[in-house]
Amino acid sequence: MIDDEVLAGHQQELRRGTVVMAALATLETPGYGYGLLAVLEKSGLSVDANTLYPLLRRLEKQGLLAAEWDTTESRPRKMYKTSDAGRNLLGTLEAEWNHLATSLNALRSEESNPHLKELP
Amino acid sequence: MSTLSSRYITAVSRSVPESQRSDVEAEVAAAIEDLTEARLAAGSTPEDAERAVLLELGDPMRLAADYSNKPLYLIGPDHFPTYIRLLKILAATVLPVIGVAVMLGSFLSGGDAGEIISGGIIAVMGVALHIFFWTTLIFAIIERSPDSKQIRAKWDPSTLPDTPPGGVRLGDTLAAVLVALVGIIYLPWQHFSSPFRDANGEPIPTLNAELWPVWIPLLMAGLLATAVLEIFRYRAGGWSWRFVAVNTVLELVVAVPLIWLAATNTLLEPRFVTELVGHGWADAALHLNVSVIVITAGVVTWNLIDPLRKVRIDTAARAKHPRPLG
Repeated sequence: MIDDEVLAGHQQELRRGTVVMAALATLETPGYGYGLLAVLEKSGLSVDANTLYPLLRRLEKQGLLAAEWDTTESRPRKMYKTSDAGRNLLGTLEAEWNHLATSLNALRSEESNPHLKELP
Repeated sequence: MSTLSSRYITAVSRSVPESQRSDVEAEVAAAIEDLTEARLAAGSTPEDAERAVLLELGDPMRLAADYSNKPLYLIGPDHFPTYIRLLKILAATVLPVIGVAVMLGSFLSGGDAGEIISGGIIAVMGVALHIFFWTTLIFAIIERSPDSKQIRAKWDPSTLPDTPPGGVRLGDTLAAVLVALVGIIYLPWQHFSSPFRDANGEPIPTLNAELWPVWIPLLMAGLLATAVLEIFRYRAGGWSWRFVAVNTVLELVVAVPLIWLAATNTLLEPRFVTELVGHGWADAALHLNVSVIVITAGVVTWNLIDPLRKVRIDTAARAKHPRPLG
Protein backbone atom coordinates (compact mmCIF):
# COMPACT_ATOMS: atom_id res chain seq x y z
CA MET A 1 0.00 0.00 0.00
CA ILE A 2 1.00 3.61 -0.48
CA ASP A 3 2.56 5.28 2.52
CA ASP A 4 0.09 7.81 3.99
CA GLU A 5 2.74 10.50 4.13
CA VAL A 6 3.74 9.95 0.49
CA LEU A 7 0.09 10.05 -0.57
CA ALA A 8 -0.56 13.25 1.37
CA GLY A 9 2.55 14.87 -0.12
CA HIS A 10 1.51 14.12 -3.71
CA GLN A 11 -2.07 15.19 -3.11
CA GLN A 12 -0.91 18.47 -1.61
CA GLU A 13 1.36 19.10 -4.57
CA LEU A 14 -1.47 18.45 -7.03
CA ARG A 15 -3.93 20.67 -5.15
CA ARG A 16 -1.62 23.59 -4.55
CA GLY A 17 -2.32 25.40 -7.83
CA THR A 18 -6.04 24.66 -7.80
CA VAL A 19 -6.63 26.89 -4.75
CA VAL A 20 -5.81 29.96 -6.85
CA MET A 21 -8.28 28.89 -9.54
CA ALA A 22 -10.94 28.14 -6.94
CA ALA A 23 -10.47 31.53 -5.26
CA LEU A 24 -10.55 33.48 -8.54
CA ALA A 25 -13.65 31.58 -9.71
CA THR A 26 -15.55 31.91 -6.42
CA LEU A 27 -14.78 35.60 -5.95
CA GLU A 28 -16.49 36.57 -9.21
CA THR A 29 -19.18 37.17 -6.58
CA PRO A 30 -17.61 39.55 -4.03
CA GLY A 31 -16.85 37.91 -0.70
CA TYR A 32 -14.62 38.04 2.35
CA GLY A 33 -11.96 35.62 3.60
CA TYR A 34 -14.01 33.50 5.94
CA GLY A 35 -16.90 33.29 3.46
CA LEU A 36 -14.55 31.93 0.79
CA LEU A 37 -13.05 29.47 3.28
CA ALA A 38 -16.55 28.14 4.08
CA VAL A 39 -17.58 27.90 0.40
CA LEU A 40 -14.41 26.01 -0.54
CA GLU A 41 -14.84 23.68 2.44
CA LYS A 42 -18.42 22.90 1.38
CA SER A 43 -17.43 22.25 -2.23
CA GLY A 44 -14.81 19.71 -1.17
CA LEU A 45 -11.75 21.92 -1.84
CA SER A 46 -10.83 22.42 1.80
CA VAL A 47 -7.91 24.82 2.37
CA ASP A 48 -6.18 25.70 5.64
CA ALA A 49 -7.06 29.15 6.97
CA ASN A 50 -3.38 30.03 7.36
CA THR A 51 -2.83 29.22 3.68
CA LEU A 52 -5.88 31.02 2.30
CA TYR A 53 -5.61 34.38 4.09
CA PRO A 54 -2.01 35.10 3.01
CA LEU A 55 -2.87 33.81 -0.49
CA LEU A 56 -5.69 36.34 -0.81
CA ARG A 57 -3.32 39.10 0.15
CA ARG A 58 -0.77 37.90 -2.42
CA LEU A 59 -3.40 37.79 -5.19
CA GLU A 60 -4.47 41.30 -4.21
CA LYS A 61 -0.85 42.54 -4.44
CA GLN A 62 -0.58 40.94 -7.90
CA GLY A 63 -3.70 42.82 -9.00
CA LEU A 64 -5.69 39.64 -9.58
CA LEU A 65 -8.18 40.49 -6.83
CA ALA A 66 -9.63 43.89 -6.03
CA ALA A 67 -10.07 44.47 -2.30
CA GLU A 68 -11.64 47.07 -0.10
CA TRP A 69 -12.63 47.31 3.55
CA ASP A 70 -16.37 46.96 4.08
CA THR A 71 -17.38 49.02 7.12
CA THR A 72 -21.15 48.75 6.76
CA GLU A 73 -21.37 45.70 9.06
CA SER A 74 -20.77 45.55 12.82
CA ARG A 75 -17.02 45.16 12.26
CA PRO A 76 -14.77 45.85 9.28
CA ARG A 77 -14.12 43.07 6.79
CA LYS A 78 -11.98 43.04 3.73
CA MET A 79 -14.11 42.27 0.67
CA TYR A 80 -12.43 40.69 -2.34
CA LYS A 81 -13.57 40.61 -5.94
CA THR A 82 -11.89 39.05 -8.97
CA SER A 83 -10.42 41.79 -11.16
CA ASP A 84 -10.23 41.78 -14.96
CA ALA A 85 -6.63 40.59 -14.78
CA GLY A 86 -7.77 37.86 -12.40
CA ARG A 87 -10.50 36.79 -14.82
CA ASN A 88 -7.95 36.61 -17.66
CA LEU A 89 -5.59 34.55 -15.55
CA LEU A 90 -8.42 32.22 -14.55
CA GLY A 91 -9.26 31.69 -18.25
CA THR A 92 -5.62 30.87 -19.04
CA LEU A 93 -5.31 28.52 -16.07
CA GLU A 94 -8.55 26.74 -16.98
CA ALA A 95 -7.34 26.22 -20.55
CA GLU A 96 -4.08 24.81 -19.13
CA TRP A 97 -6.03 22.61 -16.74
CA ASN A 98 -8.17 21.20 -19.55
CA HIS A 99 -5.12 20.66 -21.71
CA LEU A 100 -3.45 18.72 -18.90
CA ALA A 101 -6.57 16.64 -18.36
CA THR A 102 -6.79 15.82 -22.08
CA SER A 103 -3.14 14.85 -22.22
CA LEU A 104 -3.43 12.66 -19.15
CA ASN A 105 -6.52 10.96 -20.51
CA ALA A 106 -4.75 10.30 -23.79
CA LEU A 107 -1.89 8.70 -21.88
CA ARG A 108 -4.32 6.57 -19.91
CA SER A 109 -6.06 5.26 -23.03
CA GLU A 110 -4.68 2.05 -24.44
CA GLU A 111 -3.73 3.07 -27.99
CA SER A 112 -1.01 5.47 -26.95
CA ASN A 113 0.88 3.08 -24.72
CA PRO A 114 2.46 1.05 -27.57
CA HIS A 115 4.37 4.19 -28.59
CA LEU A 116 6.49 3.82 -25.50
CA LYS A 117 7.55 0.34 -26.56
CA GLU A 118 8.49 1.58 -30.03
CA LEU A 119 11.01 4.06 -28.63
CA PRO A 120 14.58 3.10 -29.38
CA MET B 1 -10.85 40.97 21.64
CA SER B 2 -9.05 39.05 24.38
CA THR B 3 -5.42 39.51 25.36
CA LEU B 4 -4.45 36.15 23.83
CA SER B 5 -5.68 37.25 20.40
CA SER B 6 -4.10 40.69 20.62
CA ARG B 7 -0.82 39.07 21.68
CA TYR B 8 -1.07 36.83 18.62
CA ILE B 9 -1.75 39.80 16.32
CA THR B 10 1.19 41.72 17.79
CA ALA B 11 3.45 38.71 17.28
CA VAL B 12 2.43 38.47 13.60
CA SER B 13 2.73 42.17 12.84
CA ARG B 14 6.15 42.37 14.49
CA SER B 15 7.55 40.01 11.80
CA VAL B 16 5.95 41.89 8.90
CA PRO B 17 7.64 44.88 7.17
CA GLU B 18 6.62 48.27 8.56
CA SER B 19 4.74 49.30 5.40
CA GLN B 20 2.31 46.36 5.51
CA ARG B 21 1.95 46.26 9.30
CA SER B 22 -1.37 48.02 9.94
CA ASP B 23 -3.04 46.31 7.00
CA VAL B 24 -1.92 42.82 8.03
CA GLU B 25 -2.92 43.54 11.64
CA ALA B 26 -6.46 44.41 10.53
CA GLU B 27 -6.68 41.36 8.26
CA VAL B 28 -5.50 38.94 10.95
CA ALA B 29 -7.86 40.50 13.49
CA ALA B 30 -10.81 40.11 11.11
CA ALA B 31 -9.80 36.54 10.31
CA ILE B 32 -9.59 35.63 14.01
CA GLU B 33 -13.00 37.11 14.72
CA ASP B 34 -14.67 35.35 11.77
CA LEU B 35 -13.11 32.01 12.60
CA THR B 36 -13.98 32.36 16.29
CA GLU B 37 -17.55 33.30 15.52
CA ALA B 38 -17.96 30.18 13.38
CA ARG B 39 -16.73 28.01 16.23
CA LEU B 40 -18.99 29.72 18.75
CA ALA B 41 -21.93 29.06 16.44
CA ALA B 42 -20.89 25.41 16.41
CA GLY B 43 -21.24 25.41 20.19
CA SER B 44 -17.80 25.71 21.78
CA THR B 45 -16.99 27.96 24.73
CA PRO B 46 -15.27 31.32 23.95
CA GLU B 47 -11.95 30.17 25.48
CA ASP B 48 -11.90 26.88 23.55
CA ALA B 49 -12.90 28.63 20.33
CA GLU B 50 -10.17 31.24 20.57
CA ARG B 51 -7.52 28.68 21.45
CA ALA B 52 -8.57 26.44 18.56
CA VAL B 53 -8.50 29.36 16.10
CA LEU B 54 -5.01 30.47 17.14
CA LEU B 55 -3.81 26.87 16.86
CA GLU B 56 -5.38 26.67 13.40
CA LEU B 57 -3.59 29.83 12.26
CA GLY B 58 -0.37 28.41 13.68
CA ASP B 59 3.02 29.87 14.52
CA PRO B 60 2.75 33.69 14.13
CA MET B 61 6.22 33.90 12.59
CA ARG B 62 5.20 31.41 9.90
CA LEU B 63 1.96 33.27 9.18
CA ALA B 64 3.84 36.57 8.97
CA ALA B 65 6.30 35.03 6.52
CA ASP B 66 3.37 33.82 4.37
CA TYR B 67 1.84 37.30 4.44
CA SER B 68 5.01 39.15 3.52
CA ASN B 69 6.43 36.45 1.21
CA LYS B 70 9.67 36.23 3.17
CA PRO B 71 11.73 33.01 3.23
CA LEU B 72 11.53 30.79 6.30
CA TYR B 73 15.05 29.52 5.72
CA LEU B 74 18.52 30.95 6.07
CA ILE B 75 19.83 29.94 2.64
CA GLY B 76 17.47 28.68 -0.03
CA PRO B 77 17.88 26.34 -3.01
CA ASP B 78 18.98 29.17 -5.33
CA HIS B 79 22.20 29.81 -3.45
CA PHE B 80 22.75 26.61 -1.46
CA PRO B 81 24.98 24.84 -4.06
CA THR B 82 27.26 27.89 -4.38
CA TYR B 83 27.32 28.25 -0.60
CA ILE B 84 28.41 24.64 -0.05
CA ARG B 85 31.03 24.79 -2.83
CA LEU B 86 32.53 27.98 -1.42
CA LEU B 87 32.65 26.50 2.11
CA LYS B 88 34.45 23.41 0.78
CA ILE B 89 36.99 25.46 -1.16
CA LEU B 90 37.70 27.72 1.82
CA ALA B 91 38.04 24.78 4.20
CA ALA B 92 40.40 22.94 1.86
CA THR B 93 42.67 25.94 1.22
CA VAL B 94 42.65 28.19 4.28
CA LEU B 95 42.57 25.63 7.10
CA PRO B 96 45.74 23.65 6.20
CA VAL B 97 47.72 26.87 5.64
CA ILE B 98 46.62 28.29 9.01
CA GLY B 99 47.31 25.01 10.81
CA VAL B 100 50.84 24.63 9.42
CA ALA B 101 51.67 28.32 9.90
CA VAL B 102 50.55 28.37 13.54
CA MET B 103 52.36 25.12 14.38
CA LEU B 104 55.52 26.33 12.66
CA GLY B 105 55.38 29.64 14.53
CA SER B 106 54.88 27.84 17.83
CA PHE B 107 57.81 25.51 17.08
CA LEU B 108 60.15 28.36 16.16
CA SER B 109 59.30 30.21 19.35
CA GLY B 110 60.29 27.11 21.33
CA GLY B 111 56.96 25.47 22.22
CA ASP B 112 56.93 21.80 23.26
CA ALA B 113 55.12 19.13 21.26
CA GLY B 114 51.87 19.48 23.24
CA GLU B 115 51.74 23.25 22.80
CA ILE B 116 52.50 23.01 19.10
CA ILE B 117 49.75 20.45 18.38
CA SER B 118 47.06 21.92 20.66
CA GLY B 119 47.84 25.43 19.39
CA GLY B 120 47.45 24.23 15.81
CA ILE B 121 44.15 22.44 16.51
CA ILE B 122 42.69 25.41 18.40
CA ALA B 123 43.72 27.84 15.64
CA VAL B 124 42.20 25.61 12.92
CA MET B 125 38.95 25.22 14.87
CA GLY B 126 38.72 28.97 15.48
CA VAL B 127 39.32 29.82 11.83
CA ALA B 128 36.83 27.10 10.76
CA LEU B 129 34.14 28.73 12.92
CA HIS B 130 34.92 32.14 11.43
CA ILE B 131 34.77 30.82 7.86
CA PHE B 132 31.45 29.08 8.57
CA PHE B 133 29.90 32.07 10.33
CA TRP B 134 30.88 34.80 7.89
CA THR B 135 30.11 32.75 4.76
CA THR B 136 26.69 31.83 6.17
CA LEU B 137 25.99 35.43 7.15
CA ILE B 138 26.88 36.78 3.71
CA PHE B 139 24.72 34.18 1.95
CA ALA B 140 21.81 34.81 4.32
CA ILE B 141 21.99 38.51 3.42
CA ILE B 142 22.20 37.72 -0.31
CA GLU B 143 19.16 35.42 0.07
CA ARG B 144 17.19 38.33 1.53
CA SER B 145 18.21 40.97 -0.99
CA PRO B 146 15.52 41.77 -3.58
CA ASP B 147 17.38 40.81 -6.76
CA SER B 148 19.21 37.80 -5.39
CA LYS B 149 17.82 35.44 -8.04
CA GLN B 150 19.74 37.32 -10.71
CA ILE B 151 23.12 36.91 -9.04
CA ARG B 152 22.74 33.18 -8.68
CA ALA B 153 25.80 31.47 -10.12
CA LYS B 154 25.30 29.85 -13.51
CA TRP B 155 26.15 26.21 -13.53
CA ASP B 156 28.07 24.86 -16.49
CA PRO B 157 28.69 21.19 -17.37
CA SER B 158 32.38 21.89 -17.94
CA THR B 159 32.84 22.47 -14.21
CA LEU B 160 32.08 18.82 -13.48
CA PRO B 161 34.98 17.05 -11.80
CA ASP B 162 36.70 14.29 -13.79
CA THR B 163 35.62 10.75 -13.06
CA PRO B 164 38.57 9.10 -11.34
CA PRO B 165 39.75 6.46 -13.84
CA GLY B 166 41.26 4.13 -11.25
CA GLY B 167 44.41 2.16 -11.85
CA VAL B 168 48.01 3.42 -11.85
CA ARG B 169 49.87 5.45 -14.43
CA LEU B 170 53.34 4.16 -15.27
CA GLY B 171 54.77 7.66 -14.76
CA ASP B 172 53.51 7.77 -11.16
CA THR B 173 55.08 4.40 -10.41
CA LEU B 174 58.43 5.36 -11.97
CA ALA B 175 58.48 8.65 -10.05
CA ALA B 176 57.77 6.89 -6.74
CA VAL B 177 60.47 4.25 -7.38
CA LEU B 178 62.95 6.96 -8.39
CA VAL B 179 62.33 8.95 -5.19
CA ALA B 180 62.85 5.80 -3.09
CA LEU B 181 66.08 4.97 -4.97
CA VAL B 182 67.44 8.49 -4.50
CA GLY B 183 66.84 8.11 -0.76
CA ILE B 184 68.45 4.67 -0.65
CA ILE B 185 71.57 5.95 -2.48
CA TYR B 186 71.74 9.22 -0.51
CA LEU B 187 71.83 7.55 2.92
CA PRO B 188 75.24 5.81 2.41
CA TRP B 189 76.53 8.47 0.00
CA GLN B 190 76.30 11.32 2.52
CA HIS B 191 78.63 9.38 4.82
CA PHE B 192 81.52 9.45 2.33
CA SER B 193 80.96 12.68 0.49
CA SER B 194 80.68 16.02 2.22
CA PRO B 195 81.55 19.68 1.66
CA PHE B 196 83.34 19.65 5.05
CA ARG B 197 86.43 17.71 6.20
CA ASP B 198 87.67 17.13 9.74
CA ALA B 199 91.24 17.66 11.05
CA ASN B 200 92.36 14.30 9.55
CA GLY B 201 90.94 15.19 6.12
CA GLU B 202 88.05 12.69 6.53
CA PRO B 203 84.65 13.86 5.22
CA ILE B 204 82.14 14.98 7.89
CA PRO B 205 78.80 13.16 7.21
CA THR B 206 75.52 15.08 7.16
CA LEU B 207 73.61 12.56 9.25
CA ASN B 208 74.68 11.49 12.71
CA ALA B 209 77.33 8.74 12.40
CA GLU B 210 75.82 7.02 15.47
CA LEU B 211 72.68 6.24 13.45
CA TRP B 212 74.50 3.66 11.36
CA PRO B 213 74.07 0.36 13.21
CA VAL B 214 70.25 0.52 13.42
CA TRP B 215 68.49 3.59 12.02
CA ILE B 216 70.06 4.15 8.62
CA PRO B 217 69.73 0.48 7.51
CA LEU B 218 66.12 0.57 8.78
CA LEU B 219 65.34 3.69 6.72
CA MET B 220 67.01 2.14 3.65
CA ALA B 221 65.03 -1.09 4.09
CA GLY B 222 61.80 0.92 4.47
CA LEU B 223 62.49 2.91 1.29
CA LEU B 224 63.39 -0.25 -0.64
CA ALA B 225 60.19 -1.95 0.48
CA THR B 226 58.22 1.14 -0.62
CA ALA B 227 59.73 0.90 -4.10
CA VAL B 228 58.90 -2.82 -4.30
CA LEU B 229 55.33 -2.10 -3.16
CA GLU B 230 54.96 0.54 -5.90
CA ILE B 231 56.02 -1.99 -8.57
CA PHE B 232 53.59 -4.63 -7.25
CA ARG B 233 50.84 -2.03 -7.12
CA TYR B 234 51.44 -1.12 -10.74
CA ARG B 235 51.25 -4.78 -11.79
CA ALA B 236 48.05 -5.29 -9.77
CA GLY B 237 46.47 -2.23 -11.41
CA GLY B 238 45.92 -0.11 -8.31
CA TRP B 239 45.32 -0.21 -4.60
CA SER B 240 43.74 -3.09 -2.73
CA TRP B 241 43.12 -3.19 1.00
CA ARG B 242 46.17 -5.45 1.44
CA PHE B 243 48.41 -2.89 -0.29
CA VAL B 244 46.92 -0.17 1.88
CA ALA B 245 47.81 -2.10 5.05
CA VAL B 246 51.40 -2.76 3.92
CA ASN B 247 51.76 0.85 2.74
CA THR B 248 50.61 2.16 6.13
CA VAL B 249 53.23 0.08 7.95
CA LEU B 250 56.01 1.11 5.55
CA GLU B 251 55.15 4.80 5.70
CA LEU B 252 55.26 4.70 9.50
CA VAL B 253 58.53 2.69 9.55
CA VAL B 254 60.22 5.49 7.59
CA ALA B 255 58.41 8.56 8.96
CA VAL B 256 58.23 7.89 12.69
CA PRO B 257 62.00 7.39 13.21
CA LEU B 258 62.78 10.37 10.98
CA ILE B 259 60.45 12.70 12.90
CA TRP B 260 61.54 11.36 16.26
CA LEU B 261 65.26 11.73 15.45
CA ALA B 262 64.73 15.28 14.18
CA ALA B 263 62.60 16.23 17.19
CA THR B 264 65.25 14.95 19.63
CA ASN B 265 68.01 16.67 17.58
CA THR B 266 69.86 13.36 16.98
CA LEU B 267 69.37 13.22 13.20
CA LEU B 268 72.17 15.56 12.14
CA GLU B 269 75.88 14.98 12.78
CA PRO B 270 76.91 17.47 15.50
CA ARG B 271 80.24 18.25 13.78
CA PHE B 272 78.35 19.01 10.54
CA VAL B 273 76.07 21.43 12.37
CA THR B 274 79.11 23.06 13.99
CA GLU B 275 80.59 23.65 10.54
CA LEU B 276 77.31 25.24 9.33
CA VAL B 277 77.16 27.48 12.40
CA GLY B 278 80.79 28.40 11.77
CA HIS B 279 79.79 29.49 8.27
CA GLY B 280 77.23 31.92 9.76
CA TRP B 281 74.01 29.81 9.86
CA ALA B 282 73.40 30.22 13.60
CA ASP B 283 70.11 28.27 13.80
CA ALA B 284 71.06 25.57 11.30
CA ALA B 285 70.03 22.65 13.54
CA LEU B 286 66.65 24.18 14.38
CA HIS B 287 65.82 25.11 10.78
CA LEU B 288 66.87 21.76 9.33
CA ASN B 289 65.07 19.72 12.01
CA VAL B 290 61.83 21.70 11.58
CA SER B 291 62.01 21.32 7.81
CA VAL B 292 62.49 17.55 8.14
CA ILE B 293 59.56 17.28 10.56
CA VAL B 294 57.14 19.44 8.56
CA ILE B 295 57.96 17.89 5.19
CA THR B 296 57.92 14.31 6.53
CA ALA B 297 54.65 14.86 8.38
CA GLY B 298 53.05 16.42 5.31
CA VAL B 299 54.24 13.71 2.93
CA VAL B 300 53.30 10.83 5.22
CA THR B 301 49.84 12.28 5.92
CA TRP B 302 49.17 12.55 2.20
CA ASN B 303 50.57 9.04 1.57
CA LEU B 304 48.27 7.61 4.24
CA ILE B 305 45.11 9.45 3.09
CA ASP B 306 45.53 9.17 -0.69
CA PRO B 307 45.33 5.33 -0.86
CA LEU B 308 42.17 5.40 1.27
CA ARG B 309 40.58 7.70 -1.30
CA LYS B 310 41.69 5.59 -4.23
CA VAL B 311 41.21 2.04 -2.96
CA ARG B 312 37.47 1.86 -3.73
CA ILE B 313 37.85 3.45 -7.17
CA ASP B 314 40.71 1.11 -8.05
CA THR B 315 38.84 -1.96 -6.82
CA ALA B 316 35.79 -0.96 -8.85
CA ALA B 317 37.89 -0.27 -11.95
CA ARG B 318 39.58 -3.67 -11.64
CA ALA B 319 36.22 -5.41 -11.32
CA LYS B 320 35.05 -3.69 -14.54
CA HIS B 321 38.20 -4.22 -16.61
CA PRO B 322 40.09 -7.17 -15.14
CA ARG B 323 43.64 -7.22 -16.36
CA PRO B 324 45.94 -10.24 -16.23
CA LEU B 325 48.72 -10.14 -13.67
CA GLY B 326 52.29 -10.25 -14.91
